[in-house]
Amino acid sequence: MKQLIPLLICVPLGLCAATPDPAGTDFFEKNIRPLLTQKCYECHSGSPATSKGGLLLDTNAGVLAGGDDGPVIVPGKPDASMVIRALGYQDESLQMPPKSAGGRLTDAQISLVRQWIAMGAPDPRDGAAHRLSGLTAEARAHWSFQPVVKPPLPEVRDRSWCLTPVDFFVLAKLESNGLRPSPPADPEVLLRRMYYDMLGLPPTLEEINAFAHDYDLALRTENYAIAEGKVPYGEGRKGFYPARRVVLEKWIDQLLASPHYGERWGRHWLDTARYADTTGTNNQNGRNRFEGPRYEYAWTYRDYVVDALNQDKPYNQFVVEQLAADQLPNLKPQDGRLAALGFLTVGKHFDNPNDLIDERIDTTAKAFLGLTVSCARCHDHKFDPIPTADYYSWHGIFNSVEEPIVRPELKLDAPAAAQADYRKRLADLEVANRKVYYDEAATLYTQMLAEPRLVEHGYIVAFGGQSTEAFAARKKYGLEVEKNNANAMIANANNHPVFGPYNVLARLFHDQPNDFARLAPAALKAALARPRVRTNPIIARELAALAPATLDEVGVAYAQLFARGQKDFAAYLAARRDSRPLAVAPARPPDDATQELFNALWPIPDGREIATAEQQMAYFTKVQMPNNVANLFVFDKINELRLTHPGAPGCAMVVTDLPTPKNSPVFIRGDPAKRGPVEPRHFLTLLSSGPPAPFTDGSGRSDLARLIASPDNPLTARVEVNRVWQGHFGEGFVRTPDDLGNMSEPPSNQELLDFLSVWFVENGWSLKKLHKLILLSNAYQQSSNPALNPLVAEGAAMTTDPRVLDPDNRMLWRAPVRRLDFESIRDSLILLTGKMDSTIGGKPVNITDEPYSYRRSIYGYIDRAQLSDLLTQFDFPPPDNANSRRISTIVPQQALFFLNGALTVDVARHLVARPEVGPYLSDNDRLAAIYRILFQRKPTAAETKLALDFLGQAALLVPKPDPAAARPTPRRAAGPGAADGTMMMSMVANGRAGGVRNTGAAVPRTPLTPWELLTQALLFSNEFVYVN
Amino acid sequence: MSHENCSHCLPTPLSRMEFLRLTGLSLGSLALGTMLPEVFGATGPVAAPGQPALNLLPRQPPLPARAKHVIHIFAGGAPSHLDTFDAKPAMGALGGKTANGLSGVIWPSPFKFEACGRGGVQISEIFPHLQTVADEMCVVRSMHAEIPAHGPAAKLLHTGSAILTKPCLGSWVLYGLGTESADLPGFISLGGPPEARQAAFLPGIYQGAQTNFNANAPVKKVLPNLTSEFSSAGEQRAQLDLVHALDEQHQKEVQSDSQLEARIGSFELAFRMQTAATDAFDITKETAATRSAYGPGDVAARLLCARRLVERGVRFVQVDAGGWDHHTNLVTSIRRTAAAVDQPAAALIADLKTRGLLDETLIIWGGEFGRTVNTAGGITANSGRDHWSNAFCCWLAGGGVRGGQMHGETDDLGREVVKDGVHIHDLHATILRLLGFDHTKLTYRYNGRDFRLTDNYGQIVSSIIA
Repeated sequence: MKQLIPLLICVPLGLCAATPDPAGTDFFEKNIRPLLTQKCYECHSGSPATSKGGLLLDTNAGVLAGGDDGPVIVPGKPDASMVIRALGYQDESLQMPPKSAGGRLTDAQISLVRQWIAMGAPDPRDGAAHRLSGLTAEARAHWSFQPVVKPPLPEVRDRSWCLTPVDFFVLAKLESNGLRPSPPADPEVLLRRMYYDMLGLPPTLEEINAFAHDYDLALRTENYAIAEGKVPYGEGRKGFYPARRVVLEKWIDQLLASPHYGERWGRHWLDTARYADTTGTNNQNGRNRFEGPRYEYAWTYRDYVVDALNQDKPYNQFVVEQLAADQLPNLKPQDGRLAALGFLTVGKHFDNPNDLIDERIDTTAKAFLGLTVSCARCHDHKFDPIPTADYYSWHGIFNSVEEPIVRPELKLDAPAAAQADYRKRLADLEVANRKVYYDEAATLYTQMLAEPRLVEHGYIVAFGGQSTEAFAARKKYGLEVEKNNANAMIANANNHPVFGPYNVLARLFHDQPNDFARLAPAALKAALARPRVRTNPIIARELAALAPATLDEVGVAYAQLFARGQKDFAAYLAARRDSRPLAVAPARPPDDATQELFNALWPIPDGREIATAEQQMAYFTKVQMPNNVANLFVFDKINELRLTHPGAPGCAMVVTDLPTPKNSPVFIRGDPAKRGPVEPRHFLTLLSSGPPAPFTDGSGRSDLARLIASPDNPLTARVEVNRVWQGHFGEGFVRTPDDLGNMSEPPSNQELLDFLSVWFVENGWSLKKLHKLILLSNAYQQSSNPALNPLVAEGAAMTTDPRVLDPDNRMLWRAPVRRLDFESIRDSLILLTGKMDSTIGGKPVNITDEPYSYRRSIYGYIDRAQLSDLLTQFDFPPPDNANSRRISTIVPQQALFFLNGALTVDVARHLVARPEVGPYLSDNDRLAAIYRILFQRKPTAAETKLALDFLGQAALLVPKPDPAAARPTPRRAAGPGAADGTMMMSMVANGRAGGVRNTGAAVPRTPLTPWELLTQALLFSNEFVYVN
Repeated sequence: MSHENCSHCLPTPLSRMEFLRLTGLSLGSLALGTMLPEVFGATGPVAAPGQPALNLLPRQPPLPARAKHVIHIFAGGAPSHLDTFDAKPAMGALGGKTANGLSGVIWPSPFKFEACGRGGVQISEIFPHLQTVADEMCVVRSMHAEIPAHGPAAKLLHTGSAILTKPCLGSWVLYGLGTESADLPGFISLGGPPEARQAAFLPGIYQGAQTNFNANAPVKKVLPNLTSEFSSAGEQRAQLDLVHALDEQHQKEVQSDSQLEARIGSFELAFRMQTAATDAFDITKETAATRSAYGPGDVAARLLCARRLVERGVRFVQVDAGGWDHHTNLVTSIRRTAAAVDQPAAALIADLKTRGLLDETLIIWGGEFGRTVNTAGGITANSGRDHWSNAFCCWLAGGGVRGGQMHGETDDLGREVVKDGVHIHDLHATILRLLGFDHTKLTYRYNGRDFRLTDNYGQIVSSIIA
């Protein structure tokens, strides 16, 4: 069919190209299409309105139809084809591609085109195909781009089922599709579901018992009311207040008040915000060469997120802070909200600044708007109404920010002693860095003076000059000065107190080389005697008696002077290091002249200028320290100290606006070398009424944030509500939470999504209220067991069986069965070891390796360059893009983690050792105790029998304890923390990209007892890792 | 037994468990086709209509395939094409001369080339063993790419993108084809950079399993958590039997989800993997003759191990055989680097052929770019070559490759491709074609876009294919 279309089009024109045979197609694909793409499409593709000369070369039909000047090819007749004349540059007026677009093709390329036409111009391209473009009315009409309108509650047949507005929408959907909801889940199941949803941790048996009692009672009360024909919230005597609500509210409020809520939902947001603790490359791709691939402070952003959720910070505010916290009106010193800017800065780093900008555009658009704006980097978005110009309007915004080297320090709740210890260790390292610098400076100075060419004229001056030689010399000795200073030096060359006289003579030599000998002595005298120009007294003295015949002689005089000064260099260096004026001899007054001399030749920084690690990084980066010296600095150790020392404060990974924000030009096809028109910084056209107004406030970040967080934005609330729904039902209304554009599926229940979105905004963008509304619904409380759905239970026919009608449960005729995500699995295990460290926030720990950390998984150190295999195996999403939805796969490596990893052994040992599982109990009671802890229920009789049989079997298998055979464990972890007793972790391998290593002991490698084997086996069970 | 029928052969998951116990069969003794759906989920979701299911079931590719397995030998560091497979006899006369736009002097290869096999494939003397299997090899002398820097270029070679984090070749292949190995990971990495095994945005099941494999490493530690330091196989067997029985009870209550069943299967697979993997990675089980055919060293051990893995149905084996960054001392160093891979690679080809596996196993050898024709300063014993990405070489063998041929040409100095250029995207397209895929159609929907290995590029090089 594809080949027929061009045929039908071109037959009437009598210009039919040969129906492409495979060889012709191959020739076209190999030789002609690349040429067309690279050389012609820029002007001759797209719509007839915008193509040059009315010629479209991106379809076969276009090629055959030709342009304003008529047909461009005659198939089979290259010499009769206009294109060959154009390509050959035969006419002055018709030269293609034009010189501005790369100029004439090579002869080889032209001969390929010739050959192709001679073959009959075979062209497999579908003539009817149009270029994909999202800039269409149809794409703009997409549902999610339309204003959110709160729909009225729909009519339902069974009003008694509807406890909340959510239920009306769910039920209406079910009823209109011939489906029915499932009955409420058992309270044990429901509470476990709520705990994992809200906290990522299981409830205790006591909690379950208390809840089940109340919930069952409430359910019975409701059922009486319903049996009497009443409906929840019905008018007057027809209505009743749902008793379950009273019970649930209490429990939901408790869950929402738990600080673990912020950890659970914070982790979801961190998936969206592509959080990681490294830049993603092992090269020196930090912002300067001394900043390694480890982020020292990414965790402050993580903690901000956890805290924001725990505080129930309104979502619109949450948005604004993450994009523009630095521009909040009422910022306090050490304001914790600054850490929100980590949203922009904890992403992957790139060599190319445009890639970094793209990364920020991409994450911002996906996270807050559910839009793939970065698709428009090289071309207009193919599916959504996002022109390339809009992309570059955002490019300007993110190109107008920078990350300052000195970051705002945040408040730290650490013991004063720890903080003092950190300050001391840091100061020691900073001193070590300064020592490296000043020691090396002394060595280099000596080397420099020993340079054989030093005495040659020009070379000395080269240190202050702009010649190639000057740059080379400065680079060699790490003397690169700030560009501005260098320029100032050049501008004032003749007035420079040290080099001024030389420069005057150099100018003379340049202007009048032949008369130099005659004019120089007087010129020198005049230069030294200039009334308003101060000359360094030592220079003045040295040159006073000089009557140079050549410029060389001047150079030599300078060189000798510097060489004589060598003896004072050590004193100069010490003075600079110790931040005091230079006194060449102890008893003598400060020697400003000598100091000025050294400063001119080699400006050694004052110790105060390179006191802090940040100053050192900035200065040593600026002066381009040679590699062998740079490698001596201890920035790695500083990085490690900051990431691991309990007394180290956090800093906010902020961005600040450049003093003069700038608009970006459109990069044609994403190529920075091909500049299109400059695009003002503004919001997306799609989401603006009329042409978007240019941003004027700094980079425009705060304007951008305000417009994203606006209640009128049709996407922001919908996108977040969709994610929250996903967190409770396994899938969102739209199953691509970071893309609600034209490429996404229609929402499974748009009325409900819209209702909730409006409700969310009306309720102050409160996420906690939204959670509560959802959890109170009958829809949420359903059983997940399909067999309990009334239609299934009643033996529905295939045509009405919900398992057939809605196999993916998109309409929610039951609750989903979900496997716990990695964090919930690991956190449950950690909880069960009895050693869980419930501290909220702080520096990252190692969550994958022994010695184990007993902190929650959200505090794990994430290296995006080498994502831990364990995380990958458990479907942790790559933190390079917003990934708000996790897939759930099953691979044997997950099973190996349970079977052979030490963590499940740790759990089993601990559980069996707990007092309530004590050996004084009967086997049945012991088993019951273990079940209570693991599954929050009693074992059934069948389960008890299986377990007891297992114990009997295991008793025969387990070897008798043999002290000699026990492996020599526990191993102690090495590292500073373990040695000196502080709780300081260390970095593995102390490499630039090494991960975190915890302190503590490894799990002892001794055999398990039968009870331990049993308990470990229970951890393998599906019940442990699935939520019903 | 064909896996299409598996969902019908036993009525419910529950009775399958009963069936297994009744018949006394271990899960491992069941035919592969019935086993895998249970393990990996027979009804995996798809990312988008028309795309492969998100499971590891073996599946037929859409087009006739020539290769079923891949062994990718990554010659990291960028081997000099001029000293390995791109003979430039005309250059001899220019030795020591300078040329416009070149720093240093032109340095003809100090090595002799031999026209080998019936196809007269030019192979440097540093590969005496490969010279004997030239009729199986297709040497591509017209590779080209844009980036002469190791990091991004290697990333481009492995993932098709020098900048972004994209899935690697092996992950795409596993995604497209699933695996035939019931008790080993379908994609195994025997060393190499992370991007050579990363699934990136493809689901984690397609990530290459990282191993700690080398000639003398303890087999039990090859994969993390491969064996238990706490309990015996007998104890674990008893544990799993208990868990399966408990899971049955659980299933009754939950009444759902192929995932639950898949997870039960995954424990069985993991249990068997402990022995299967320790066996597969244990090259000491090879005969002395085979071991000596591959020769000594880590690369030899990896290639021998790769054969054992492929034999067991592993889909893709990534092998690290680097060390080619010869900026200095090229003459002595490249001999050493070449020797490390020469004998084992030739042995691998011969070995696979003897076992009838060469036809279905595609071997690829190559680095991320080539090296300069010029050498800084004069030609000395310490001379080396710098980075050059406009022209380099690779070779392919087995798996439907037309052996005994050289594809493409560079100019007389080996600087620019003058005929039949093969970009890395083209190589990827060709590899996928050998495996039965149209590279433009093997896509995965992620973040609103259908991604593919070759992005918007890639032409199949049909003359490489037999």
